[in-house]
Amino acid sequence: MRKFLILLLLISSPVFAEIYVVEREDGGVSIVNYFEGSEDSLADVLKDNGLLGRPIRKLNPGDLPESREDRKYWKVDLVTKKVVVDQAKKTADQVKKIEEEEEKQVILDKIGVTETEIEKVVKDVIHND
Amino acid sequence: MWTSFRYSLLLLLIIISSQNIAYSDVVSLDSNYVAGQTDLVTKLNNDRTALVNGVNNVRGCVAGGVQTAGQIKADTVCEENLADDANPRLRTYEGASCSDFVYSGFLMSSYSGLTGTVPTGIAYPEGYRVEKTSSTSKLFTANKWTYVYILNSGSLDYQEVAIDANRPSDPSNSAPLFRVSTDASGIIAIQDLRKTTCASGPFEAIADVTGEATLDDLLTNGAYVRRFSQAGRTPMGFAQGAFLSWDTTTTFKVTPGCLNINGKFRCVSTDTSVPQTADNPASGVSGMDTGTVTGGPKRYYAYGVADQDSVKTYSVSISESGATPTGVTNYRLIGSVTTDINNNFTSRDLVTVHGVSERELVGAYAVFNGAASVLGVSDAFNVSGLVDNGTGDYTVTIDRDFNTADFVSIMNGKRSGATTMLSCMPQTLTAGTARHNCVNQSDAANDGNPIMYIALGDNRQ
Repeated sequence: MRKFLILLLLISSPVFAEIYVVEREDGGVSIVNYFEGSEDSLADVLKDNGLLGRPIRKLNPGDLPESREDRKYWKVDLVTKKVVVDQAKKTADQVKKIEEEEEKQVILDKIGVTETEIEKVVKDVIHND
Repeated sequence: MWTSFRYSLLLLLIIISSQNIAYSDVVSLDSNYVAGQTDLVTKLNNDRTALVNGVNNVRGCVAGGVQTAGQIKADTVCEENLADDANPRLRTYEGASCSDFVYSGFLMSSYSGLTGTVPTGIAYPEGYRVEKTSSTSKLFTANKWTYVYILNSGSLDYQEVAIDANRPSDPSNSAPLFRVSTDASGIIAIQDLRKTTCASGPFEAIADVTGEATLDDLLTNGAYVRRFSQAGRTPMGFAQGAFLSWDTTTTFKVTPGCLNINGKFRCVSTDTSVPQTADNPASGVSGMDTGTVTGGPKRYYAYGVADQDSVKTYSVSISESGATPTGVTNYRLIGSVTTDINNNFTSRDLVTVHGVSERELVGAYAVFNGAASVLGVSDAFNVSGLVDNGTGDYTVTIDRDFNTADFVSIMNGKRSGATTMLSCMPQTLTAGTARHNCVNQSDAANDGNPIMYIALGDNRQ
């Protein structure tokens, strides 16, 4: 097994990339994988992606969260300079979502139908259109 | 006694020396020398005169068959003892250092209906010099290819095959002259098959080892990166370079290259500009074979042409015909170019039949894990960067950009953590970037692993 893994490492040819985090104007972050040895410079890649001039920081692979589950809440930690999940924003989103669900349920109770019934009606309308 | 001995010795020396000088036949001498006879000196002088005259007048033949002096004995002159410039099997006179050389003439240009006239000429079938001083009229068979040869007997030989059939074997002791193509009513094309120079060849005699493939085999055989293209089937035979390249709306270019055109090997070291004006193949002028560029959009076929003598270059003729350009004898299909509704050449669908242009190749690709925090890139081509903009939101940066944002950009993959497909639609395309958003069946943004990306388009640099 060990021999197989060593062989696999030898024959695989991953593309080596430098990793940068760029803070976007909309508050999110883009993770730029710059392929070393390209004819394009890093500045070219940033320019092509509309990111030139934005705050940028080079990262190590360990500077990113292990999971992409909360990708939309990623931000640069001002202290550690690593990419972390913005817990406050995530919590606010969760609270907002719960409130929206509660509002929706109130409306459904008023008209006396379930969400499943509404979905069925909408589906039939779309299919018969 | 001493005097008699001296005369005998002198006579012996004359006879021996004359035999060493020439092998003359039928030399009559006085004879019957008798010791002490009074006219011995006269006889010896007569014989000396006869021998001198015989040796000095040795001839291979005598006009009218009347022999007046010495003559070489009949049937004793062998070919192997003749000098090169006189040997009938090794003719170098008039530049004929190779077999089947045609020194002049023998290319039919005069014809009406199915009847043509084979003109006079000088040729060396199998090295034997043949000169025909009068032309020969010939009625050709309809709907045939007829190969015409000159035999070393001085006669012409005709070999008929069906249109597009393989060339038949050359008759014994013959030199090929030309091929006549006929339709139902007349002669429609003449293809020059003459070997008009032996200056650096012949190619079929050049091989590394006797019996192995020759340079002629290399030049006349072999296929290329593809056998078919939008312009038609790629002709057999050597072709290197000579790519069609768009230039302006009224001219295109053929890049430097070498072509084997109907047995004529031609090379050009600079771009050949091909206008929409008339060509002149015999003068090496490139252009339209007949008529004008009209009725677009239309495809025109480009031919490398070797009709100009005593040059090593080719010209380029364009024709509406994909098989037989008009007014051209030695030609080879090299590609096609299209015109638009205004009869202007367009860069779209510019095809070289013996090569593949950049537009026909993959412009960029990438394979990566879009579900990892650090996008794991397995392999990529012509990609300088990959940007993770968010969940299922990836931008591929093209290293050497396309010439336009109108290229084909396809991203797809497998949904992370599931066995279902991920659909990635193009969101923003520029000449150097392609941003795609990937969603699952519920239209929700979703990461994928693996994500596969491919781009095709106009990436000419």
